[in-house]
Amino acid sequence: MKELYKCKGFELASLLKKKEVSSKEILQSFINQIEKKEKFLSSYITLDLENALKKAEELDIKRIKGEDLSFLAGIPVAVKDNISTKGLLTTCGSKMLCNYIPVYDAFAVKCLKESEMIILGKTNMDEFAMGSTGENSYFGVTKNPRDIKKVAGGSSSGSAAAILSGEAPFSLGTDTGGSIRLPASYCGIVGLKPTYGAVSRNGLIPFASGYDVIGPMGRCVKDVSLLSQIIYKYDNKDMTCKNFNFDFSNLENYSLKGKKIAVIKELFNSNIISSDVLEKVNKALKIIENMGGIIEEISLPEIKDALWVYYIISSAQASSNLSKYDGIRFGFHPDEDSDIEKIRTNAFGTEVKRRIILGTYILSSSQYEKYYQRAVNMQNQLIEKLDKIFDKFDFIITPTSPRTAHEISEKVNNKNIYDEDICTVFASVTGIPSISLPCGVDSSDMPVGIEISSKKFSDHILLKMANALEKEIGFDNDIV
Amino acid sequence: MVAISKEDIKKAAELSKINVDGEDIDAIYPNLNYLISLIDEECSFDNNSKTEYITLDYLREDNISRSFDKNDILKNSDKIKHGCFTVSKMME
Repeated sequence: MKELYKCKGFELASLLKKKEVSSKEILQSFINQIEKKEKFLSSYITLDLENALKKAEELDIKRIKGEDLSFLAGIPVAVKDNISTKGLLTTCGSKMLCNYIPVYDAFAVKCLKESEMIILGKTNMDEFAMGSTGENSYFGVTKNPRDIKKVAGGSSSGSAAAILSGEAPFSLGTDTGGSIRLPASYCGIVGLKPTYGAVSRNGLIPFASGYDVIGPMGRCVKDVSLLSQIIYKYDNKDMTCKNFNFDFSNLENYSLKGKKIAVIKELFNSNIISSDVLEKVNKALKIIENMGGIIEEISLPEIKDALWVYYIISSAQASSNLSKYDGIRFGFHPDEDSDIEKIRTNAFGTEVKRRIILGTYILSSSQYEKYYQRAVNMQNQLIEKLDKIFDKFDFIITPTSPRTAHEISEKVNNKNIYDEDICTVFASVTGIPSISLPCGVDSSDMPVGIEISSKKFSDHILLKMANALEKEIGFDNDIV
Repeated sequence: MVAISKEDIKKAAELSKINVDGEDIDAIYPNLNYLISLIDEECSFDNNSKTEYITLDYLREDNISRSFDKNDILKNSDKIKHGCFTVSKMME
C-alpha cells in the first residue's frame, strides 16, 4: 500500500470504511509530512494537531463500536485562515488579527465538524484575501511545492500548497476574484468557486461581501465533489444563501456529447494569455471535441470590463468592511498611546492599505457616480449578457490564469499583477460557479489550469463535466 | 499617466484613518495610479441606464437566542477594564 499522505481523499475514506486503516494512522501520516515540509512551504499559520489526534482517537473508537459515520468522518481537512474556527486562532493573514480567537465556528466549519472531519489547522493566505500570489501574508510567503522558488498563487495559497505537498487531503479556500482557482491552477490541483449564495458566508471574515464565497479544494474533482456535499447546505444566518437542492451523489457517466461550450475570442485571440498556457488549453479543447462536445467561439468584449468592475466594487466593499478594525475590539493594540490611525497604519500591509484607500476614494462624493455607480451598472449588464450566453451554451471555458506561477518577489509591487485576475473575475462579478483543474504543464514544468464556468446553481453539473474531462486529460498531480 | 494625484491619495487615506506619509506613499502610489488609470481607460461604459438594486423577498424571522460568552469575546482585546473594552483616547 502506498503511503497514506499520497492517497487522494476518496481513497482514504474508502480505506477507512473498509477498516484497513485507522483515522489515527491517516492523521499521523499527514502530520509526518507537515513536519517534513512545513519549514520550506509555510502552508499553515496555525496547526491544531493535539486536538486533531484526540478527535482521531475518538473516531477510531466510534468506528470499532460500529457507529454510523459519514463517508469523510475521520479524514483530515485544512481550513483557510479567514474562516472562523471556535477557539482556534483566525488571523486572516494579518497583523491586525494576529491574536484573534473567534467565539463561534463558521457555518462551513460547523458542517465539517458535523461530518466529523478532522481540522488540521489554518492555512496561510494573502492578507484579508487580497492578492493573487500568496506573497501578501503577514506570516510569510507560501511557496509552491513544485518549485519553492515560485509562488503558490493566492489568496488561498496555503490551502493549495497543503494539498499538493501531502500536508492535507482536503482544504477549504475562499474566492473573491479568483482566490481558489488561481492557486489551484498554479499548484496543479482542483478548486471550485461555488455559485454566490450556494455556500453560507456565515463566519467568513469579509473582504468584499458581494463576491466572497467559501469553496472546496482537492487533488481531483471527486474529492472536491465529496467536500461540496458537506458544505453546500442552506443557512438562514446568511441572507444571500439560497435553499437549493444540489445533487453531488453521482459524478460518473456524464456525457459531453452534444454539449455546447463557448470560448471567448477576446481572451484566446489576444496577447493576454501566454503561448504555453494557450497551447495546453487548446489541447484540452481538442479532447472535449473528441468527447463529443461542440466548441464555439463567442465574442464577449466585456470580459475586460469585468476587471475594473471587480476592482471598483471589491475595493469599495473592502474599505467599508475593514473600517471596523480599530485595534479596540479586535487584536492588535501595541501600546496605550496608539490611536486608531497609528494602529491601522501599522497593522495593515501595503496591499490592504492600497485597496482600502482606493475604495474610500471611489466612494467619496466627488467620485461615486464616476466609478461605483458605473461599475454597478456594468456588472448588471455583464450578468444579463452571461444569462443570454447560458441560454445557448452549457459551459464557458477559459484558461484559469494568463501565465503559470512566477518566481517569488518577481511581481511584488508590480502594477500589472492585477491583470492576472482577467480570466477569473468575470465569474466573480456575475456570481456563477467556476472550477479550475490542471490540464498540463508549461515548458518550466509548472501546471496550467483550465477554467470551466456554468450558469448559476449548476455547480453539480459543472463538477460532472470537470470529472469527465479530468479523466480524459489524465493529469498526473502526485504529491511532490 | 497621472490618474490620481498624491494629494488625493493622502485625502482618501486620511478618511480611511491610514497614514501614508513618507515612504508609504511611494509604495502605494504607483499601483493605485495604475488601477485608477486602468479603470479610466477601460471604463467607457455608458452610464445612462438605471441601477437596479436587488430586492430581498425573504428575511428570516428574528429569534432570540443565547449570545456568545462575554468573557470569550473580551479575550480578544488586550485592554479590558470593568468588563468592557478600553477605548483609546481620541483627543486631549
